[in-house]
Amino acid sequence: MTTLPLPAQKQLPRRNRKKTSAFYFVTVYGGVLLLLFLVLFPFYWMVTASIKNFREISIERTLIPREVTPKNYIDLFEQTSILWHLFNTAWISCFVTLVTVILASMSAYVLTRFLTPAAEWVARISLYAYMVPSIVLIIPFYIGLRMAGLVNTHAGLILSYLSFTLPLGIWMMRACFQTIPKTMEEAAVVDGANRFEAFFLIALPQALPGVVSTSIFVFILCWGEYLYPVVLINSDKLRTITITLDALTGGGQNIKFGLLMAASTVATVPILLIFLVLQKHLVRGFAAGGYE
Amino acid sequence: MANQSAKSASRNRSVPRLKFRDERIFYYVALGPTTLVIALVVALPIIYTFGLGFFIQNTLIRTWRFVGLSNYSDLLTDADFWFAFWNGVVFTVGSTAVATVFGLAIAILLDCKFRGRGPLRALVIFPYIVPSIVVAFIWKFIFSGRGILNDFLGFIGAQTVSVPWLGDQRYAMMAVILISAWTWFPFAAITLLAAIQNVPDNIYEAAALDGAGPVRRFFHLTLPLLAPALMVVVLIRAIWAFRNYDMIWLLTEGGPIGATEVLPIMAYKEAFGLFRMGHASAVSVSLMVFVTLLAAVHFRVGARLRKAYDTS
Repeated sequence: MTTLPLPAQKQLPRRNRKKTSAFYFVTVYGGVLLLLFLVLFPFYWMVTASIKNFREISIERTLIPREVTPKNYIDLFEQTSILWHLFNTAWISCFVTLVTVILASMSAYVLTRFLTPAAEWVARISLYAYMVPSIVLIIPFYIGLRMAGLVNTHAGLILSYLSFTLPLGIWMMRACFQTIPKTMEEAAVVDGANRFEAFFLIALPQALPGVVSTSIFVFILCWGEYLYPVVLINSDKLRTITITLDALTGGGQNIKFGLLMAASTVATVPILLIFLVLQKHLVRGFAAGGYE
Repeated sequence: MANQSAKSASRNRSVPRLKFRDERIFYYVALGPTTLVIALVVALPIIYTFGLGFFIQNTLIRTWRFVGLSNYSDLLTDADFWFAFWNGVVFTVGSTAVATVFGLAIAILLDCKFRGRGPLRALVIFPYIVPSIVVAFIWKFIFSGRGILNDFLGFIGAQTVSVPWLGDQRYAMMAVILISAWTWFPFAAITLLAAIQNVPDNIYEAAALDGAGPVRRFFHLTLPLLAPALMVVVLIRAIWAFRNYDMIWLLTEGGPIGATEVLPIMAYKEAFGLFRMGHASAVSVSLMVFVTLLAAVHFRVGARLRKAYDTS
């Protein structure tokens, strides 16, 4: 409707273009450098500490490592079953993401297309559920899962993850379906399609960007989840990566920062890969309501 | 009443009567499983915690004793509870303020034109998506007594003695606030950047023609135009800060001497340190009440903003 070109606006000078004074230049690039430093330095410090020896980490605190050693990583892989924990985290996160996206996209579609009282309640509860403190849920989870014999199992952990991924998924997918016009589905009725076809063949393909953003956010949340696994899992074999890290600090005052930074680097790499490959979808996910 | 009927009228308009043959089946298949899961992992646990707050229950010795409201009345007179509540308020206000102000500055910066703006806009998100345990450990390392921050402050001559920032009662809360703000500012920055981009350029041009300088344009144009987005950012951030558990726990475990103990940490210690589940439930229900109040404000403000947006 509003796709008519507006030539008058195009000829106006853009606000950003005309201010290229020296002051502007210095302020902007100074700000950019400061921002780069603030965002990148902590990660630089993490990665360099992971390849430094003990002396350089704790006593000399060299800015640029003089001597590169793989010792921290060797210790890490020898002392912990971190590869196994990475595998646990990966499959749990993938599985939860899959379940969440399937359930959330179907129900979010219903929430935007069928305005029944029940649907409105589900929408309301899931919006609210996303703000409920996880500490409120962890006590009943612990007691309930213990009664069901699901404490210290991945099944119990997956169930508990759904308590925050599903509300987030519904929230994001609902925002996504709200932007998709119903006209094509209406046309499909005329052509004799059923509701399942309308959803899977017409609405869902249009919602694909939303599905991707939702998946990324859910996966990232699952990957970094700390509270549920620390309470619900106690055998080493079933741990997730956050608990691997947590267990490394459990030695009183003398934290081995070299080892810890190596483990932190390993835990960050998958997130970095997702970031590098899918950053476009991440930015869009933010706009669609990917809170936390 | 009039409002109600207008609402349902607009609803009817937005939902044309589609006549699919299998509406009912689809409705139950699509909504049923989600409803079940939400009931099982959200609604039921909340009700359970509510109920548990009226009991004294110890998981170790497995006894249940109904005590009515005594868990709550205990809390009201418990100085530790109010101290934790107050810490939560300080942490929430502090981290939200720092993250929002810093995020706004970054949003304005990212709206300017410079080389490499696209990649930087994406890069800013990174602190937000890194697992909080990694963020906590990196900063624990930087802020430790023999960490690089002390070296830096000594180097520029700001201090002569090394301070274990997270282990010192006087500075722990400030350190926790700054670290949380570092990982949460991207949310404010990206949301506000989107809001800034929605402001039409010609408003600024008109103001510039009228002789308004950049400072005046910021306070009289940018800020008022961003007010709705700022409001939403602040409320969401505040809700998340107040209910946050892992960041503070991983940095200080609520210490030193309770200096950073907030309600979620208090509930956690009651539940899984002392195994006093009834007490822990009462703490977490109180926490939920506060969060719900914030959420109610958020929904109310959000609804009002949407309405204002629709009518304009």
